[in-house]
Formats: sequence, C-alpha cells, structure tokens
Amino acid sequence: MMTRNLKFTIVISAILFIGTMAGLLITLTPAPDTEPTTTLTLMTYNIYQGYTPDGGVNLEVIRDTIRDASPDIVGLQESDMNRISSMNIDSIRWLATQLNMYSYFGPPTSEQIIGVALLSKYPIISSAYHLLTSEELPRVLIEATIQVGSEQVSVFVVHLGLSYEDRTTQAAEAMQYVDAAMAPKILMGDFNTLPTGEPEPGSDDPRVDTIYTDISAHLNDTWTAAGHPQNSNDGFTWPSYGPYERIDYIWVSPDFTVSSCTVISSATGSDHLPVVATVQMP
Amino acid sequence: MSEKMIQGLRQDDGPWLLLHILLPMFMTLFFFESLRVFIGLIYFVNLGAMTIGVSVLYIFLLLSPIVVLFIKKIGAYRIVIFSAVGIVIFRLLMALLSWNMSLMLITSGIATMLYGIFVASIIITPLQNTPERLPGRTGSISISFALALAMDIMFRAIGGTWDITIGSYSIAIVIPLTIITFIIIWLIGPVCGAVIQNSSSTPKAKKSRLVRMFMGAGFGGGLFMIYTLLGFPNVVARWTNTSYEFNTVSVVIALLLYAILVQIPKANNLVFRREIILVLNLLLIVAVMDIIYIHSVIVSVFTGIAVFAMMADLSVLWGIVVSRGGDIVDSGLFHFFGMFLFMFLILFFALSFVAGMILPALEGMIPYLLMLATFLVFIVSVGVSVSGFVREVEE
Repeated sequence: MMTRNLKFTIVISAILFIGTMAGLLITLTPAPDTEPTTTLTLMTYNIYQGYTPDGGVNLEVIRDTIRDASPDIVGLQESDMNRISSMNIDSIRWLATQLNMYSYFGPPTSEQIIGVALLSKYPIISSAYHLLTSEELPRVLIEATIQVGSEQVSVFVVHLGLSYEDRTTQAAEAMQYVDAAMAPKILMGDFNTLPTGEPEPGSDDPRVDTIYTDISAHLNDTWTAAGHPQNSNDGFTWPSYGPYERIDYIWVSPDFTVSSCTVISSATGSDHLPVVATVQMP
Repeated sequence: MSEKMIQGLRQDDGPWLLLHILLPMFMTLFFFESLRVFIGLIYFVNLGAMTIGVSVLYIFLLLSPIVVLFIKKIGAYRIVIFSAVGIVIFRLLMALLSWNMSLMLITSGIATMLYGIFVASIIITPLQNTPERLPGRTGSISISFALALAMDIMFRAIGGTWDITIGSYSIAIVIPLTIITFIIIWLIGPVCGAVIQNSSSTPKAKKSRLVRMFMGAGFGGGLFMIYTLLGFPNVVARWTNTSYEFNTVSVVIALLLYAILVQIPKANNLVFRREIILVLNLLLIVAVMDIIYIHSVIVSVFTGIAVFAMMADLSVLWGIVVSRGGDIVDSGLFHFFGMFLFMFLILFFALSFVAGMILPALEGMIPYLLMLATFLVFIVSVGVSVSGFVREVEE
C-alpha cells in the first residue's frame, strides 16, 4: 500500500518534473526571422564574463544593450563557460533565448573554459573553433557560416592575448583561417591592439605590432570605412568609463559596403564598449 | 494552524516528514543557492581581479561543522532549529541586499556557514517511534538532498540556467520560500518535540573518531562533484558538446526516481545492498570518465546514473556518522573534514581556470580534480559498504 509520504514525494516529484519541463520549454530558442536582407547590422562586444565591476551577474544589461542595437550578428568575447564565479550560468544560452537568436560558443569547455561566442538572427549552418597558440591565457578563434537569405557569410570571432608574442602569433594564425574562408567574410572581436600598433598605455613592452595593418591588407576596418579617422576619440572602446583605446574592431571583406559604424558610448554592461556596424550585402 | 491539524501531523509519519524531509530539503536548497553566490563572489573579488585579497579568508566559513564541537552541550535538536532559523534569515537577507555585492558575500557566507552546522546536527537528530516502513534518517536526508537539488535545477531551468531565486525576481520567489520554511520550523516544535530522541543517551561501541573523520573525504568529494559538474546539466552539456535539455531531463529523473525508490521498502533494501552499491559506484566511475574524457552518445544517460549513484552514496556516507554509536562530535569532525577537502578541491579548481596567469602547472588540472573527487566517493562508499561498517540504524 502506498504510504502518505510516498504519495507526498510523488506529488512533489511530479511538480518538480513538470516545472523543469516547463522551464526547458519556455527557454527553447524559437525559430528566428530568416527573411532575406540586403543590410546586415554587426556588433562586437567584450562582455567581461557577464559581470558588473563589483562582481554581480550583469547579463540583463548586456541583453538590453544588444537588443537596443538590434544587430543581426553579434560576436561576444569573454563569454566564458563553466565559471563557478558566474554561478555556472550558461550566459550564451541565456542571451540567445532572451534575444531570440541562434548561438555558437567555442570551444567545448573540456578544451578550455575561455571562449568566444556568436549570436545570429540567421541560421548558423556550420561552425568550428580553432585553438590559437598561447603562452598566457588560452585563446580561440571561432568560425561559422551563416545563411543570410540565399547568401552564405563566413563569420569569425576572436579575442587575442595581451602580450606582444601572444597577440601577434594569434593574429597571424587567425588570418590564415580567415584567408582560407569563402567570401563574403566578417572578422570581429577584441584584438588587444591599437590601430597604430603602439603599446597600450602602461605596458612594459615597447614593441610596436603590425596587427592592424596586416589585417587591413585583407579586410576593411568598418570604422574607417564608415568615414571616421583611424584613431578618433569617439572610436575608443576601452575602458567603458572614460575610454582611451580602440581595441575592438569589426572587419569585413571588400565585397561588403560599409554604411555606418558607431561605438555605443552609453553602454554600461562591461568594461568594454560595443562596436556596431551596418553593411550592405554584396 | 489549528491544534487539530497539529495533532494530525503528530500521528504516524508527520514528524519524520517535517524534520527529516521538508526541513533539510529547504535548508539544502538555500545552501545550494548561497554556496553558488558565496564561492562565485570570493572568486570574482580575488582571482577575477588577479589579486588575492583579505576577502579570500571568508572561504574558511566552509569549515563551520567544527563549531558543533564547541556548542554540543546545547543539544543537536536545538542546534538544528537555531541554525535553520539563521539560514532562512540570511537567505532572505541575501535576496533583500542583492544590490550590494559586499553584503551579498557576507550574507551568503553566513548562510553557507550555518548549513555546515545544520547538516552536522540534523544527521544526529533521530526520532523515536518512526514507522519501520520509512527509510532511516540518513536515507531520508539523502531524499531531501535529492529533492532540493531537483528543485534547484527546476529554478535554473526556468531561468534558462540562471537561478531565478538569485536574479531580478529573487525577492518574489525567496519570500514565499522563506515563509513556508518558517512555518515548517514553527511546526517542528509542537509536532516533533515529544519524539526527538537524545542521540547521546544510547552509547555504543565506537570506532575511532579519527577514522570516521577521514571518511568525510567521501562527503567532500561528492559535494565537489555535485557543485562543479553533476548538479549542473548545462556544465555537462558545454563540456561534452551535448544537449542541455537531455542532460537536465536525465538528472531530474535520476533525482526523483531516487527520492521515490528509497521510500519503497523493497526497493530501498535493494538499492543499499552492498553488491548494488558496488555496482552503482562502478557505474559512477564509468559515467564520470565518459563525461570527462570520452563524451559518448549516451553521456546524458550516464549523467543521470552518476547522479543516482551519488545520492545513494550520500546516504551511505552519512551512515558512517550515525552507525556504531556515532555522536555529534563524530558528525562535526566528519563534515568538517569533508568541507575542508571540498574547500581545497574548489581552490585548485578555481586556480586552474586562471592557471596561465598564476600557476601554469595547474593548467589542464580540472579533469584530474574531478576524477580524484569521484575516486574519493568510490573508495569511501564502497569501502564502508563492503566492510559492513555501516549497519542499519536503529531509530
């Protein structure tokens, strides 16, 4: 005979099971809009692992910043997974659900927890990650093919290392993958380098890198392509409060026509400011 | 609450339900929520900023079970009630003070600390005249642990992996939960007071306290596995590149199945047979190896199996504390050592995240830490089951 406690446990279990199923159902990403378009809005944003400066989880502010800009494709850096510090929240899944977008995060955390991510209103039809040579924190480049109407676009997201050796090696490796991809292509991320290649203020290493000029030989910097001076104050992206460096970039292949590029200076969700570019499809 | 209702609750299995299921269930739920915030904030203000500050010392609050050795004269039952009231108050404060991270760190730390005292005491608080068809108190408290974990996963599933009791809606959820818990605590006095058994009144032959204390390593290893991997289907999904949804369903079914099966006498006897414990633990090893290294197509199923085995092991491990005349000192030492080990495993786990910046030698250590924790659970659980150290607990 079933005891009162067993009945109680079964009822509780049923509630918990139904609650969990309901939770999974309501957070499933619905099918995004896949209408053909001639214009793409791109965004790159280093989200500081989803923290506020004092350690609170800050995903709602980040979501609102992205939602207000209404981008079609977003590259996210410092979107690490499996961090006990951010309470093991799957920030990319959460953002994708909230923003009604497809997502890809790389690499699997069994490789490393430091990764970059991609959100897209258009279907991601293939994706891959490439671990980059690192002496300091491990870095990765992700690559995805996105179906935009009848066109396919190659998208790359990267977050380069801080040291001269790491970032120059990683930039060269990343460009090998970018060069090998089919056009049209987009490369965006936090490159930790200034357009001039000079050391960041406060750096002990006086060496000047050529990352910006090397990439510019293959792709167009949307900021300058939109008519802005290479190193103007309104292009600075770090730190978010009183920025004095431009280290976050969106590059596109020459078959795209750049309409505009802005830095969202009002964004408060991270220690970086997001960059948004609008481009015409080839 | 009318006297008639209290009379009704006093009968049959009411006291058992209140003291050994509902109260530890809500306490464990609050513990999971507090621990996540507590460890997360300590990590952020230290390793997140690549500096080690004085706030890292808060981590020693995890060692709170040792406190019961100094307050044992109060009696295990009173410690249970006081610590439970404290946990509820500080969990509520956590929600109310969530705008300030320093206050969150303190309140979550105290709630976590109080749980260490609570769990060391509740295990040693038996009830008289509990019907034989009900599981023993270690089995019961492992049921409450499973239900708490399932509830925590439900809250996280609703929030898209972000616990809704911590985010923007936390006050709306935490206030009702704390009210329910206060009612449970308030009922425990009139309902359970007359049948609380003084655990120290029946001294039996004792095994060495030191041996029992070191067996707490199994508890620490198990808690580490739940906190870093098995209790988070999304972490397993990202680690193995598998479906978060399937992993969640698998884990929740395992937890609920455990909670139900352990209450069915025949199933209970089967689950806790030494042969079955051995098989479950072998499956646990295989499952964790699959999750960490192999990533087979049935990794979601293995995750559920691992969680089921871990719940059974928890009951076996708590059995170490209460069998053969174990008292509150044994419980305090057992949980103290378990939390000590948990603290060190978490420290190395966190350091290996930023190994490239601090200790390069720790790079890639996470799989080894997870396997080490699993082997600790395996060795202690299987060891005490096969050796017959844990016997049926008379209540």
